[in-house]
Amino acid sequence: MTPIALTVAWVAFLLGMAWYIAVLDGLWSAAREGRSPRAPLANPLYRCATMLRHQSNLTEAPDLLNWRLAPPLYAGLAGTGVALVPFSSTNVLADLEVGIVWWGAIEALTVVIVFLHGWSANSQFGLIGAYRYVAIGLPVMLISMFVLIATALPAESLAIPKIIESQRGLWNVIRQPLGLPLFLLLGLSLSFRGPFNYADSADIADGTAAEVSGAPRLVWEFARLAMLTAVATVAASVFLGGYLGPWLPGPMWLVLKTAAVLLVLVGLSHQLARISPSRMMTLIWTVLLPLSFVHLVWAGVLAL
Amino acid sequence: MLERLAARAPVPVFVAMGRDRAPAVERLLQSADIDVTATPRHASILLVAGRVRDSDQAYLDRLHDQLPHPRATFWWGDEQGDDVDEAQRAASSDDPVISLRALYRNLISGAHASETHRLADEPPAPWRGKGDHGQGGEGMMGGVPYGRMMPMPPTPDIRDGLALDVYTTQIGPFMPYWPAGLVLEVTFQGDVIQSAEVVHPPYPPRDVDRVPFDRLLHETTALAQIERARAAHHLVCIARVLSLVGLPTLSRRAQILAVRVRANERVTIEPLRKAAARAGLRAALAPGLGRIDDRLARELGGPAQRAAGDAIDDRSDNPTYTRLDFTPVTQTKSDCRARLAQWFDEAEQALALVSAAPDAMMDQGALVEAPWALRAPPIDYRVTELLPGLEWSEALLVLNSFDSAALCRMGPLETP
Repeated sequence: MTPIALTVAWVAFLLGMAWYIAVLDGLWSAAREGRSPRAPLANPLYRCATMLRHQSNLTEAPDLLNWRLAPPLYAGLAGTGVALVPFSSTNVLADLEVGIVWWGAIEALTVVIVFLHGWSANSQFGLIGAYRYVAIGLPVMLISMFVLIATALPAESLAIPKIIESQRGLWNVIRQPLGLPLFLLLGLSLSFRGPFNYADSADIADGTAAEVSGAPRLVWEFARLAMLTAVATVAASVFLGGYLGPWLPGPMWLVLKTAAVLLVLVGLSHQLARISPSRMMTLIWTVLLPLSFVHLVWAGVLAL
Repeated sequence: MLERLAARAPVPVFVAMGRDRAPAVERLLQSADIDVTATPRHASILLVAGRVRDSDQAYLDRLHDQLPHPRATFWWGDEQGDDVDEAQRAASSDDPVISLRALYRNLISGAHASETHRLADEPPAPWRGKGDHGQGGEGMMGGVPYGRMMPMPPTPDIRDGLALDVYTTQIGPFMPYWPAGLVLEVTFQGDVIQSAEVVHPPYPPRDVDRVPFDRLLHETTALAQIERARAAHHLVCIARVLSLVGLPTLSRRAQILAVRVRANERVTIEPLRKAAARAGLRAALAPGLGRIDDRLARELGGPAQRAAGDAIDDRSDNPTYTRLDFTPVTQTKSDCRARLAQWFDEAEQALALVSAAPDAMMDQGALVEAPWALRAPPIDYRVTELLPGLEWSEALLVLNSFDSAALCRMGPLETP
């Protein structure tokens, strides 16, 4: 594909997957609530139109520069994450030798951006959401780095295309069984959903998004979906062999695997209750983080 | 094009819960056409359910001005003046969904003009920030920001000794998941509550499910109506907790069940309870969170007392109930988990009683346990004593583990 075609595919992939997640959310909610869904395919578009129709409001003395920049930057980070992933053995938008490191930088910057969005509105609940997000987001990021480094060991490379090629014989999800479940937690955390929704939860009136309306809110909500897509795309590539698969073309396999991971992520976000932030911190530091380290040691021993 | 698409979206509504014959807001949740938002910034319509205290008018105005344009207010209740437009009001017995939809459509198309600010658009205190973005004061750490003293705490944080900035803010009276009408001045360190003072007491308990209990005072009433009202009341309480632990879809299901119970439909609660258990509801409520002592439990009465292990229930002495082998259900721990389990148990028991005796009638004036705490004068234990030391999400869970009657008894008396 030419760079232009690749860029168009990249944009279409992000928009399509965001719509897919919104539709899944609607269907899953309706099923859980025990009623028929309301215009499941078109409802996300209606909601987008409502947000666009709303005025972009201001708060008292916000840090306007950061407040307005945070949503597009968050979406940009998500888009960069997807760009790291090859659609096929020859088609990758950002073919980096250090793709995994780049992804780590995306995770770290996401924590900064979400904090900025909550903080810059100059509002108490936004601030609480921002602090909570940093407290939870940082240790989850450590878990994901251990897990991703483990996938780089059999490939002997930090490049995502090489990690995919290293799975021609056996997918990492089988070779390293703890990796995918731990990485999915990162997905919920980076886009603050379900049991990891500490930034924008109901008890703090939607937290970091409590004060934002209009187009900036639309970008913010899209960025959350795009970030979930980015995590699912990376997960599909480093654990499920990405574009590898018989019969179908490579990009199709990537789309199918990403869609499957997203289905699991959406399901988890609807099915699990959220524990208090302090108890979640304890769980992450004392159970999940040591577990991810054991996982890394296991992967290292296997790779020897 | 944009307007046509937006007009088809669920109507984004922020609910300001008033007092006195407050309508059954959960009825709105049954409709997929309504999207009850967590913040006024995401709403097009401010729905005022019931009458608002005069002293809360300023809060309501501030809330109103936070809605983005185009916006409108809708009054739902029985005590609205004649000066309110027909398109913007409904009686508490009416279903307002169609009116809300029409109002929203007109707002989006421009046929209904967006409401202007009620208050002057000026900050309550002069802003004295420094730097390009008003971000700080002097010195490496911001030193003396905004011309005020560095707000470091005089004492360490009461949770883990880590000293964070202290800030004091007023919360209420229309905050979601917050006792309607209650305004607290809360001092935080980080997200941990250090202290709380009552500025305005909560509104009297909502009386949506009170009708059959009131009727029983004057006429013979069906046991089924009494027990259905109990189950509906408990389901609404359960729904609030489910939403707070991040299970909004199950919360909505509980609200829908409450509406169906009131509508005399045959429903079972067990699937909801199992789904909540599978989602990890117990883990979400820390053991011991919101535990109250026996004296407070006794003073509150009702489900809170039975959750503490006291099998006190007026139905035990009622011949209609004794014929049905009624025995009160109880818990032991007297914490949030126990009170939630108590609501579930009592709601299931209530519907079982309805099934066992669908035609049983209660004599006029018969003594029957109400679903909520005792409606007696306030007790000396204040709602503010529950909160210090709790992290914000825990504080909301603790508050929502009591019914509104219990919370009223733990607040000061409202000045007439």
